[in-house]
Amino acid sequence: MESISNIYIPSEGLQLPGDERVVEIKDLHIAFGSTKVLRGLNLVLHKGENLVVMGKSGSGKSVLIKCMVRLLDADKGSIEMFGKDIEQVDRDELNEMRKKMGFLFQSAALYDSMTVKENLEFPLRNEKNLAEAEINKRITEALENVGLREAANKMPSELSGGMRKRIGLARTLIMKPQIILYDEPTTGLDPVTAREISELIVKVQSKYETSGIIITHDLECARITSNRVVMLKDGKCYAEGTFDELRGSDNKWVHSFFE
Amino acid sequence: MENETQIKSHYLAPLKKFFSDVGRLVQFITAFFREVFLPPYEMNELARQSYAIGCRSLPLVGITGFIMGLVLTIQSRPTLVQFGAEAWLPAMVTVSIVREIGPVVTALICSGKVGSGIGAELASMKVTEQIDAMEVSGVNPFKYLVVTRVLSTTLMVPVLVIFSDVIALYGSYVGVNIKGDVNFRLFLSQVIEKLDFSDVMPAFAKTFFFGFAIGIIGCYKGYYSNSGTEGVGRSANSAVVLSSLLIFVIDMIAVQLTSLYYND
Repeated sequence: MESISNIYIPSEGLQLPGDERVVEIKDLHIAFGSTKVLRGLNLVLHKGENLVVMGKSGSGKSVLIKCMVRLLDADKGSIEMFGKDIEQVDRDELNEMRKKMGFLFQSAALYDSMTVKENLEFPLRNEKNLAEAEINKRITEALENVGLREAANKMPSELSGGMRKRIGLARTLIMKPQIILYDEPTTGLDPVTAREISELIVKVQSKYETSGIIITHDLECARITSNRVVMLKDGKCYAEGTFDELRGSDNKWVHSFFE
Repeated sequence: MENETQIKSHYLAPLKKFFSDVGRLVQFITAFFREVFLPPYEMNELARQSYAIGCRSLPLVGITGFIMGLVLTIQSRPTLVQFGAEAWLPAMVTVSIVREIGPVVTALICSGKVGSGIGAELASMKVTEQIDAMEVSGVNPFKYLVVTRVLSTTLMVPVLVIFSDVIALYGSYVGVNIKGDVNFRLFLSQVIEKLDFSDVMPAFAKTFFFGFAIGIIGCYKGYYSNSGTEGVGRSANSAVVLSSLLIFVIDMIAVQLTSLYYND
């Protein structure tokens, strides 16, 4: 098990899909004005695992994954992905690294002025080597994976919340990423749709052998999707373990999340 | 001591914010000039934006242009009649429209229609994380969203001004004929006779700057919108206010430069 100082470590060992580290975050600090959000966060993501990050609102969960794609620049610390520190790479290298990462936004962030098909085509616009047939094949495959093949010509405004999330996921899959970052994937959805999205995340993980970091408050989503759960408190990892381990924890703060 | 702190926060904070905004706008404009020459060039989006900004503004610009020419002619007639200079009506209205009223009124209309639209669209994209989504998919959102829109307004506003001027002159012809009887050929010959190069070219040249101001301010306000739906409305509103103000400032500078150059 990963040994990180100052955290509560559950008693049982973790069964991880692999030992190879695809992301290693060390001593990450970020502040907005006088508000310190992350204060020396350490985190590891292994190949093929889905890591759920939980914590109170404002604990820096979304900030963490935005730092991982450099939507936000950290004040201190390092984020190593694919053997490189993302904080140190130039713009071109960053864009190459971003192609290996998918990001599912909380609101799905579909482009309003484009159809679903155009939304899916958009990330491929800089891939000059891809033929039209290959692009269409990828779009069809991505839509089939999320069960929405018939939605290709619809506008985002014609889609329900769950459908938007699925299309958002399809858009991240189109680049065949190795790591997918999910920002509250089930927020605002009814329990049935939320469960479908959670199951879809697991399906994507096993079919494409992706690693994922899932930010969520939804316990059912965490239970279904997680290989490992990390809980943030005061800008640091406070607890880590499997979902069942943390749910059974006698630590008051940890336990309060699972009540 | 406390009084001094209060004075500082009361007077210096807005001043600091003003200079910080100006600095950020300068950076934004610099980024535009850097990105506009670097590949890849987003030609499809440029064409789409030019169509949206140009063609879709034609009806509004046409109607206001027609009314502008008609009203200016009707309002000017009594004064010219008083001085026995009614024959000068087409020439006076033409010079007024081509040199000043046409470009400024059309630019103000574009500022209201196009500038607010750009501000609101980009602000809403910002709020709903669409700009972030572009960024993480490896597409440069500044190039795709800002460069194309600013180029489109810079190129389309002059075209709209020409269109508006032509329609306004037709409106003037209608106005002249409400109480008079001038055939179109005579009206046109009077119009062309009284228009100099110094009337047309400086007026046309400044419209590119009007278009640039509308685009860059709309994009700047949208791109740096604060989160929330309130921020979308505020961005659209401040895009119109600031770009309208800039249009008058640019016009004032252009008039001064023109009069210096031609010794008017």
